[in-house]
Amino acid sequence: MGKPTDRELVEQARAGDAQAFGTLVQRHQRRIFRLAFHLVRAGAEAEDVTQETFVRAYQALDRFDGRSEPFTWLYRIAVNLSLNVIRARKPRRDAIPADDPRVEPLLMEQRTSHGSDPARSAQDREMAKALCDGIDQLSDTLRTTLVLVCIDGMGHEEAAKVLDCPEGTVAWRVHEARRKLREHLEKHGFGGDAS
Amino acid sequence: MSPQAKVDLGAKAEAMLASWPAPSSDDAAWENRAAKIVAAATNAPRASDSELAALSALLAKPALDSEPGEMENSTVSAANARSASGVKAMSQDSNDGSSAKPSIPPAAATGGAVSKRPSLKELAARASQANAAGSPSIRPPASMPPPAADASAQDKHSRPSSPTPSVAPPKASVPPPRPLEAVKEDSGRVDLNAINQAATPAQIAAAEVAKPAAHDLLSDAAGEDKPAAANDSSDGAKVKNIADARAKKTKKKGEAAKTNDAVASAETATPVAETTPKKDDEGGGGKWAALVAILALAAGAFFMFRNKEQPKPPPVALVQEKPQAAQPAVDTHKIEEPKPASTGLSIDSLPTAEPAESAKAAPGHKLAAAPVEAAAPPPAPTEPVAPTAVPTATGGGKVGDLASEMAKSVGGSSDKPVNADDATPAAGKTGSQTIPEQPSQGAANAAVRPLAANAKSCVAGADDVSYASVTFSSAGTVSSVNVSGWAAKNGKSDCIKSALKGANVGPFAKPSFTVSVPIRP
Repeated sequence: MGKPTDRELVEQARAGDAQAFGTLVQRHQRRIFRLAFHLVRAGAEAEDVTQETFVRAYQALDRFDGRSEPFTWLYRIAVNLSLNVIRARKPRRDAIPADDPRVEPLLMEQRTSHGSDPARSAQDREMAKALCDGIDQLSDTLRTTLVLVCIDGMGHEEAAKVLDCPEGTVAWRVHEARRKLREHLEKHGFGGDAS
Repeated sequence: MSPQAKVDLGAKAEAMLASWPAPSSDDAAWENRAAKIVAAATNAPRASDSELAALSALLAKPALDSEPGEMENSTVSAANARSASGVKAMSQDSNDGSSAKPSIPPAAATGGAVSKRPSLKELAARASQANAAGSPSIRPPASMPPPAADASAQDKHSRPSSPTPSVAPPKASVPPPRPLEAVKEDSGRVDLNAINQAATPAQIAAAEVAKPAAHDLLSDAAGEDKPAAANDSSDGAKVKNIADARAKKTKKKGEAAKTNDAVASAETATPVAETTPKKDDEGGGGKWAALVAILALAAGAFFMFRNKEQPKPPPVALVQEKPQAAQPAVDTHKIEEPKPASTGLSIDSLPTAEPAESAKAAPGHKLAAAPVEAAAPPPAPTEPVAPTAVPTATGGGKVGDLASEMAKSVGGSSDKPVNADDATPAAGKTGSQTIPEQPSQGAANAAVRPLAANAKSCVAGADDVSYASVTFSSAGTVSSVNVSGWAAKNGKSDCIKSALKGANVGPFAKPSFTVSVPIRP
């Protein structure tokens, strides 16, 4: 017997099957955490957002109409919760730690792919910082769309469902975010085909 | 602006973006978290009304402000577009989208710069000042722009788009706009009558004997006619004499006036006279100048005729090694009426053409089609000649035939047979000239999408996303596939690589092009 689909799990959870809901959590919590982490830029807050996402989803299981995939539904809750966290934090923006928590995981991934050349690692670190800085300078709209599409790998159609906007708008936002990001990278010496 | 035109961040930045992980934890930690989440969800008390309202907000569309410029790409209402364009986020400073710019310049819209524009009352006051200065000739017409000094201070955006005056003032009669403050001091005009009246008798006498510069150039006796006094004078004196001669014709002699002013004005009025040779006493300067001019004209005429006689080389070097074969084609072009398709290749010039049926009957005789495509000029607007000529040419490598000559002309080997299936009319295929810089995102997606299903089967049962960075070579084929994420950690990289390596986006100009493909279970 194959694995149950997300819809089937939602139906079972709606019927009171906590185990089915647990399976749904295990299946999607990493992606939700990754999305929240890139949106709120803090691991602890991302964990809170992840937990809150599933708790809210469980409370709203009856409202899931089945027109979209459960994971896009979860994504929308996670995006909204992350935006709430960001907006609540904005007055004390300087509270963001100096060492960006996004850099180290990225450098570990690069080391896994390309080995541990010190010069290359230093260059990767600078580029990762520039990327983080450029992403942070984007508006919430562009940054959220960029994280969904370019970092999470979501398609334009799915991102449009999460953000409840036309696909063309998603495409434009991605283009605009990438354009601004490229300008930022060029300003920091990583222009063109930086390698 | 096309959203499909992907902005290239560079291969490294793209790879970083596509495979940017979150802080990792081991599976036990994730299971513990999942258990906590389930416990929190199932043990949570029933939501109150306020919590239900908050829940509705969480399920609603994320409250993200519209970006200026995105309105034309979405279906958001125009009212929202106007409201959004008025709000500028911090990150939108460098937005160069024309749609984001207000149709009215900000200065004009706010009216701040309008106050800098001189009012009609101010213009009228200036005009009256100019009249009072007693120089009506420099008064600008009503349709003239404001004085330059004022115009430079104006914001160019604040200028009203006033209609062009129906009757423009003649350029010759309108001096360039000058500051009105300078009107009284210097009008910029030379009053020859005043100069004539101010000339001294000596100047008038000198002017009588002075000759125009053009006369000196052509007259052998010019130097002999001149008195010694005139020969000793400088260039300035010569110029002065010209003006004085004119003055003598119109004014009486003996009137004394300001000599220095007259001289200065005369120099300004006739600067061309300064080109007169200095050593007029020799009388040969004019000869040499005339000789040089004639030689220059002759040289110019020579080059003109030479260029006319030398025909330009044909655009395609088809038959350089065998001129006797190419000559009839050139002559045919000259004699016959001009053909609609100027491909540089005439059907009449084909020496060894055979019926098309022979080409079909003998498949072993293949046509050098690739050289045809490479050597053909851009497609003609009318029916091309090449499609008729191409199927009839036979004999790969035969000396003197079309295929071999074309192959030679493009540097290929005439002995190499080429598949006739590749033969394409010159006007019908321009792919070599229209290769894109890089494939569009849509093309890349279209190339990868059919294979994504196979790749998905490789990650069946995965609990996380995998990513494949597919690098295409300039030929359009997949040169490498870099797999990251779940598949890389679970040994499914080869499966994904084999699934995606068959993608093809068509040739492009860049050395490589990488597209990141998320692969979800």
